[in-house]
This record gives sequence, structure tokens and C-alpha cells, in this order.
Amino acid sequence: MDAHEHTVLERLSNGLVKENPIFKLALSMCPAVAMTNTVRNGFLLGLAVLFVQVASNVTVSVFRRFIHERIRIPAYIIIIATWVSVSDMTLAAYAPGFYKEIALYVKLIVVFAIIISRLEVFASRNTVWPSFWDGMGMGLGFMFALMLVGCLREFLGAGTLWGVEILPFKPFFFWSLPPAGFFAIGLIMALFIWLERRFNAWRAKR
Amino acid sequence: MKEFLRIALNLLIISLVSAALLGLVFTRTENIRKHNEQARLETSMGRYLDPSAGPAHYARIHRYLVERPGQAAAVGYVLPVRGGGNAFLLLTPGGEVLSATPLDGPVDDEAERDATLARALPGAAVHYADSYILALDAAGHRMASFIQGRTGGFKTWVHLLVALGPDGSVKGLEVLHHEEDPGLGAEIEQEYFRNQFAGRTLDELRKLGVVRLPLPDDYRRCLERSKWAARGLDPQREEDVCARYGHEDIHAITGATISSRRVTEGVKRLVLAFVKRMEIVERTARSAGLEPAF
Repeated sequence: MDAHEHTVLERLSNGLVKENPIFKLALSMCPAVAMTNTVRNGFLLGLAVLFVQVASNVTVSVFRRFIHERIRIPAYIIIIATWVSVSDMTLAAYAPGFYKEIALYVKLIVVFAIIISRLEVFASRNTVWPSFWDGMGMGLGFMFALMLVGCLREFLGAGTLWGVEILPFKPFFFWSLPPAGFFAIGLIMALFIWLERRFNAWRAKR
Repeated sequence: MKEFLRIALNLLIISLVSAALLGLVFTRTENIRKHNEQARLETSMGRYLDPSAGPAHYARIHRYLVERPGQAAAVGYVLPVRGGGNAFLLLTPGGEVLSATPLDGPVDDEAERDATLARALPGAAVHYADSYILALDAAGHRMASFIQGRTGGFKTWVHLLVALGPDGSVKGLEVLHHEEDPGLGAEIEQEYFRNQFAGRTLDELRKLGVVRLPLPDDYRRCLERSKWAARGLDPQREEDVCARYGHEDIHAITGATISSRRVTEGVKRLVLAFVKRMEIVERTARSAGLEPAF
């Protein structure tokens, strides 16, 4: 692959739609199921993932010639773990309110499949700039998917959106429970793919 | 062999750079994090103090379990004494005085405290148990007591701060840290759950249980104090509602009975143990020749 093939827009749309981490690649489903019972949770986790993905992508693409082929997996894990710890400590010190809400999940980002898979598939074979935008696209795609699932579950489960009361009661409590995450993701995934196909068919016809 | 060296060197350098970066970030952030935690604790405590009584100063008491070679286990309290300085009061588990020694070093930080205690009690092993904070006014009268402790939640520890009035009744409950499920057990943070504890006397607390009944609507409204103004409700009427329901058992959070029960048990255990221990400390400190600063 060559750097010239990757425009900024193409990288962003790739992460958001074409290879959306949740709806198309179906990677990192555990956090997506566990964390998405509110929109805010989805947004906060998405933000943390965005940072780690971009920082790891850039680091790996800078040092890709230095990292020996045989030990690339341990090397990637060290790089991801470093950035996760950096964000963990920085958030705890400078954004304690924000950290309090996502402390539980930040440390788990180390094992998110989406991050290491982008390092392996993209950042290890591309230069810094496209890798940066690939990380941005993937991070934003992840955040977008999490927030969408969070919207559905928060509205149906708690009757609120971003903590703001929309309905004065909790319509379907089931949607707040972890198993409902699977249903929510499945439903939105189906809708997402259906819409994308419709759009592609429409574009092909034009 | 050359390949082996290259791989080893490669990984070593990556690890070293990573370690250096983490070390740097840690030294830059650790003090700020501790400071934030302290500030948060003091803000939480300040909420339960009457601002008209003037600024409060805090007396901190730390409880330790002490093991001395060849002797029975003992309980030790680090407590501030009148006129400045701190002392270490060593008691048997039954509440008999073993010794009382003045401490000659700083005790603010946990590491400082460990060092000071190691000098005061050579050869003994001390294990930190918990801390109590007393808020005193300028004349040295107790305005409120704060208990920092933890209770097992649904998953891991739930760290609580219980505020008590001078008469020993609960003024409020703060959840400092927890890892309960969002949307379920995490609701223990919400006002409508925490405020159910406010106003409970010691006798009520002893009998306090948890019921799995839906929270009555008018009670919920009076528990969610921060929303009062926004909802335009009459505070006096709400006060009456709170007083009516405020002596019943705790209403569990929907779908999180275990978290509700564990927090309730935790509050009961922490408060009752605190009252008993403070009684022993106050009684024994004077008989051991100490003049506590509270």
C-alpha cells in the first residue's frame, strides 16, 4: 500500500462506515455490550479508545521498520499498554470528574481487539499521516457505534437521553441489562448494513 | 545467535522507552491525583457542615492492627493530642490500655505514618485498618464525624463516606468509589438511594433493613433534593413526606437488591463500630494520660 492511496476523507469514511469496528468488523463487542446502556458511557469510552487508537497507530507507524517481525505482537501490546496507562494516569490527575465515570473501562482498553487489529492491518504497513487518520476514523467509528447503541438502550431502558429525562417512567427495564446489548447491537447492525446496501445500490444506478 | 540478540535488544529497548515514559507521567501526575482525591473528600465533608458555625478543622484518627512478636494482637489508634502533635494509643481488643506513646514524626501521609510508627514501635508489624475524621469548630466542639470505610458490593469494594452528627445520627452518605454495573448497582450513587440514610438515629440504624418495594413517588421527590428547586415543589410539604417515610426500611434499587443490601449493611456496620470504638478511645485515652484534641 502506498500513502498516496489514502486521503483523509477516505480513511475517515472507512472507519465510520465501510469498516465500522462494531457494525462491520464486529470487533471489541464485549465493551460495546457492557458499556452502552447510556449514551454518555458510550461517548466517554469512545473518546478514550479514540485517543489510544490514534496514539498507538502513530507510534507503530513511526517505528514500524525498527520493530522486528517476530516480536511485533508483544511490541504492539507494550505500546498499547503504555498509551492506556498514560491516559489512565493523565485523566486521573487532570480530569477527575471524567475519570470517575470511565475508570472501570479505561484499563480494559489494552485488550480491545480493534486496536491491535488496526496496528497489524494498517499502521504497521503505512506511514504516519495515513495511520493517524486511520486511527481517527476507527476511533470515531467506534464512538459513533457505541453512542448509537447507547441511544437506543438508554431511551428504551431508562426513558432518558444523555441523562436528561424524556419519559417520566422506565419503558422496558430489560434494555438496561447487559444481555440487551446483544439485541441492540444485532438490530442496529442489521439496519446499518441494510442502509449501506440501499445506498450503494442507489449510487450504482446513478 | 545474531537474530536472537536482535530480537532481545529490540524488545528491551521498547520496554525501556515505555517504562521511562510511564515513570515520567507517573511522577508528574501522582501528586495531583492525590491532591484531587483529598480535595474531593473535603468537599464531600464540607457538604455536611454548617457554614454559619465558622470554618472547621479536622482531627484525623487512624486505626491499626498491631502484631508484636510473642504477644497477643492489639489495636492501635493514631490520634492528635491537645497542643499539637500526635500519640499512639495501644489497646487490647477488649479495650484495656497497653501503652500510650507520643509520636515524633509526621502522620499526614500513609507512608509518613508507617515510618513514624515503625520508629515508635520497633519490632512490631502494623496493619492499617481505617480512618475516622472529626470536624471540630474553633472551640474544639465536635460538629460532625466522618467514617471512611468500604463494604463488599456486587462485584468489588464500595468505598463509603458516612457523615454523622454530634448526636451520632446519620447526616448523609457519599459513595466515594465503586465498580457496580452502570444503570443497576451504580444507582447507589444517586440521591434517591443515598438520602434514604439521612436522619437515621443509632437505634433506628440497628434495626434497619432493606425492602424490595417500589419507591413511593412523593418520597422519591423529597429524596432528590437537588431537583427541588427545578420542580417548583413546596419544601415544607416535602419535609413532611420525608419525615413520614424516613423511619421505614431502605427501599432497594430496582434490579440491584444485592448492592442495596450490601451498602445498607456496610453503613450499619461502619457506624456501629465507629461509635463503639470512639467510646473506648475517649475513655482509655484519658486514663492513659493523653489529652485528645477532640
